[in-house]
Amino acid sequence: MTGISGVVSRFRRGSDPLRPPTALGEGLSHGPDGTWAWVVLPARSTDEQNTSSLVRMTAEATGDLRRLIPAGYEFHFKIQWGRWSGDDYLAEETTEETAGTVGALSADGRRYVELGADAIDSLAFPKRLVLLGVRMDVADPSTSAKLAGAARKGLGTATNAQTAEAALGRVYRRVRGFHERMAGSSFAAVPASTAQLAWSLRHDLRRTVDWVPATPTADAGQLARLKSTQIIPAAQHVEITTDTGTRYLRMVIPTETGFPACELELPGSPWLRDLNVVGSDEDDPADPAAPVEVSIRGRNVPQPEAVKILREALSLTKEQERAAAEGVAQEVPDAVAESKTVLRERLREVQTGTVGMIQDTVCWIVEAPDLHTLDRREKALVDHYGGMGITVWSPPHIQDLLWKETVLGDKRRVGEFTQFRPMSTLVGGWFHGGSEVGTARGSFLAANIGSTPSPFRNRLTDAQLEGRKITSVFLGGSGSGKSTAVMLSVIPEVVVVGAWVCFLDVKGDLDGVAQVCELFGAPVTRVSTKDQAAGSLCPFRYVTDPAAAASMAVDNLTLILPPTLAALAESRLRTAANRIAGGRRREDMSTAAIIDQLTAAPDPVTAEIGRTLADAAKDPLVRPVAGHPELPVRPLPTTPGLVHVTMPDLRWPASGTPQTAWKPGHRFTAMLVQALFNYMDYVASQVKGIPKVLALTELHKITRYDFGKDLIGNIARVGRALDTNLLLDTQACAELLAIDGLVEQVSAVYCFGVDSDDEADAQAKFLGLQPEPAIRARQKSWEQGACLARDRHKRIGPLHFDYLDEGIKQLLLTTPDRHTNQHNQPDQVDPEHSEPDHGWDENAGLDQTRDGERELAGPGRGVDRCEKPNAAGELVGQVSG
Amino acid sequence: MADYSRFPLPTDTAHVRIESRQYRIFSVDLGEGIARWKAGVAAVLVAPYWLALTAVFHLSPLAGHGRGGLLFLFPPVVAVWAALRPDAGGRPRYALWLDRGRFRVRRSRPMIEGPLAATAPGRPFLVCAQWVVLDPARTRRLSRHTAPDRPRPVQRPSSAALPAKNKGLSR
Repeated sequence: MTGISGVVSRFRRGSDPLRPPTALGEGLSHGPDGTWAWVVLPARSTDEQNTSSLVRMTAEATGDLRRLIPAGYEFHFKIQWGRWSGDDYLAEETTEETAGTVGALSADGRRYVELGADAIDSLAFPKRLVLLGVRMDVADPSTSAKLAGAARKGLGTATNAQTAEAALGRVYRRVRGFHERMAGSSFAAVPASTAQLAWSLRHDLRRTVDWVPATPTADAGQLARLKSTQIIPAAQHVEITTDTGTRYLRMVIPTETGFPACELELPGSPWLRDLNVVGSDEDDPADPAAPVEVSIRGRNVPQPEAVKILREALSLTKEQERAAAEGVAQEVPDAVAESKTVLRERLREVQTGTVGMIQDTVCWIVEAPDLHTLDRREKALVDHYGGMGITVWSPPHIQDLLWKETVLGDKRRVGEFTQFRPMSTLVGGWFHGGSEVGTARGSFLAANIGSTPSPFRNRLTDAQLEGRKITSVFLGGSGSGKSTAVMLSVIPEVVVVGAWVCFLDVKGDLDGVAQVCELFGAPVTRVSTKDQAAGSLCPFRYVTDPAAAASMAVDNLTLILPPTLAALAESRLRTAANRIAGGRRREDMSTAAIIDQLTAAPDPVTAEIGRTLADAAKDPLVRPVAGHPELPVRPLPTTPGLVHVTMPDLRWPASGTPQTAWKPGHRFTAMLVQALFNYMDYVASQVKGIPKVLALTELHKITRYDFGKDLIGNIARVGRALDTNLLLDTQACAELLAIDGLVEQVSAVYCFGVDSDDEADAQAKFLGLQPEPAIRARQKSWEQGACLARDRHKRIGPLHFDYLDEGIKQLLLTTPDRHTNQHNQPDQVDPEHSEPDHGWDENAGLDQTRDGERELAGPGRGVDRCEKPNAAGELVGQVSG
Repeated sequence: MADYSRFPLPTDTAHVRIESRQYRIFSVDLGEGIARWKAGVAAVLVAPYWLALTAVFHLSPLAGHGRGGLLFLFPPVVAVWAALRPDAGGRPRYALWLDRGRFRVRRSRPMIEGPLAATAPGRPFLVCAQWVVLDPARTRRLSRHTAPDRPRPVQRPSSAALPAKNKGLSR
């Protein structure tokens, strides 16, 4: 800062009135303050990337911007927040062309969609718009161009109109070239539509947007409508009259040297990534704080100019050293010495072209409905950045000028807060990344709680249509919410899409999914291995090909036998099975018939095997597979609806017990599980013409055994061939990793909280990330219901699953209620030892109910009454206790 | 080979705006020196004042048995001190005075150029804001009985949770 003239000129201001654009077009704005090219930077999934990926992406994005913003040109980044609309969601989900439903959406399905729309409105998700504008009407500064222009005018070979026309043509070519090159860059930017620019301008000027022009260009009349507003400047804020009342804005900017010289770095300091920092519990729930908006005006400093600035500063440091050395001081302050070192290095980088410098001013816009809230939110923002070492403040008496600077198409008005730094520091703020995850259509399942909050939507059964892998895994510790997430994921597939969904409930505590589906009028079939009729799971009963059925029967019977007999039995079993399968009458074929064949054999060893199997077939665990078929069994439905399968009263072996040491009950359990998996797998293959989903929960109970790993691996491999979506839920993700070929089949991953580093590392592998300390710490910190998700497009973002309604929440709760008197409730749900009484015929084995009016849950779930949705689409759930 | 474990985000504003100091004036050593811009501000304030006292009011520093010297020294010292005190943003206080003065001049001017914008900013009078067409996202009548708790933004683990070698990298 030299000279007396700098005392005042340093604080020069551009005080003229705001002159908004006079025309808007596709990716273009024109006004008194220049012609700007505008692109939209779409939200991406970058927040959760590994450090090495983040560093690489930052370097790539920096290189792109240095190349695409011409040297000497001004740029303007705008980060604004709108609102996700429940109405838009409702319209998309209820239109057959966009909803992806099977046939027309039922009235009950529509009620479910309306609940989602209500939730989206209630949660008030902010919708981010990131605009990048570059001022393009920059005259050629070269001397030759000036001389040529002057000569043409002097000679009379160029009129003002011709000159203007030529300038317009040049600007237009620059704008289109900028659009094309931004589209091909790592940002994959798209030209901002006229509607987006109009929305941005109206949002700047009015905060609430009730209209935007629908035409390709916005003319004078339309812009006049966009610009009508009432703004009152004040010393500490700007007051804007909106359609919903007065709003107060406060512009917060860094102090002159507010950014630390070298303390910011990646990972750890993406200083513009998280802007949702001003909300607090004191906010009105009906009007929660939106994330802070940001405006960044800057200029790409040409290399010669940057070298000049740096060289002058370096010369000053040397002069200071000389002057200090001559006097008593002897040494300059440490800051000057440090500057000399840094400037020398930066000068070398700029001269060699490895670093490009910019001058930029960042302005955060804090908005509130009253001044008290405005003060509180400003303090929260200042504290947030103070924690990162960045000093920000709201300078008084220039709030109106700072606000004008933020408006689309305006100019820089306040100069002293401009920062001089490499382009990479701005790019490393990562305001252009995001936590985008999910699909464009599908049901609302969860809230995206990352840097780009949004409704997380997913349509599981669209994966096949997109030709992508179809296995989803839900990983996490006990009580982390993964089973609930599985339930919430399949409910819309049943209720809205009309898919065939088979849901395996290993522990028996997830009956709530069936109850919710019934509430919304979906057909529900409950199946329990405990109550299966004898022989109902016999392969001969449902497999069309007798030879294939015989093969499966041999597998089942081998598992029943003790190891001493199993080694002798295989050939004998196969001979008997083939003989049965070769018979003429289908009704004579059964697993029990194979046992009879063995028992009747003259060979004593064969007869002994037969008798052993015959005795085992009387066990309740074996009876559904190898018992004599007694009654005709109704097959599992192959029409839209939910099939809820439970496996109570199983006797699992300890995980460390070798298979040779298993007790009979352990072997029978393994056989029953195997038979059930085969059954579900086969029935899924018989469902034709509608989307299919197979949801297998609590798989850690199965995958700790080798036979379980084989079953899961096999079902995952054949799932794609069967066109069946597969949902796997387990606490032991490390065990899933050990299943051969499973990881390659996984499409979507939902990683809930875990306790150990090993599990966190396994989750990282499923997510496609390299295990590192930051990921371990993050995966161990999720609260219940929150997770890190990777969608089938390999985008990663944090989610928090949403129940949509308190009544649904109560039905889906899996935590036991200890306040109820369990001994007095004969129909109490005991997840380990019993099956809820659903009132169906035990002999029939299967029962189909479609009753939304009945009492849905016993007191064990804490629900006294939960009725079918009423006409207004509301669920009524009264919570007891 | 590039180091992909960290990426510095430097800002050179402080380096190119180093405070240059004057260590000597007319062969008088000033010790640790004084900031040149502060000397400039002092000159801007003191010189006109002294000029006014001597040329307009014809006062001498020795007038009044030397008490006139107080008039020459005390007010400008106070003024310079007040002008150079840093404000909340670290700027000299005189910048705040300049901004305040300019704001008083322009606050009555229109904020936006154009016939439809309010020409003279004044406090608006809203009869009933609810009657106006609202933001589309707000027009939907919510059927939830109470607004739900909005999920909190993702809380990233603090640097304390990371191993020592990474401390300082996380915010």
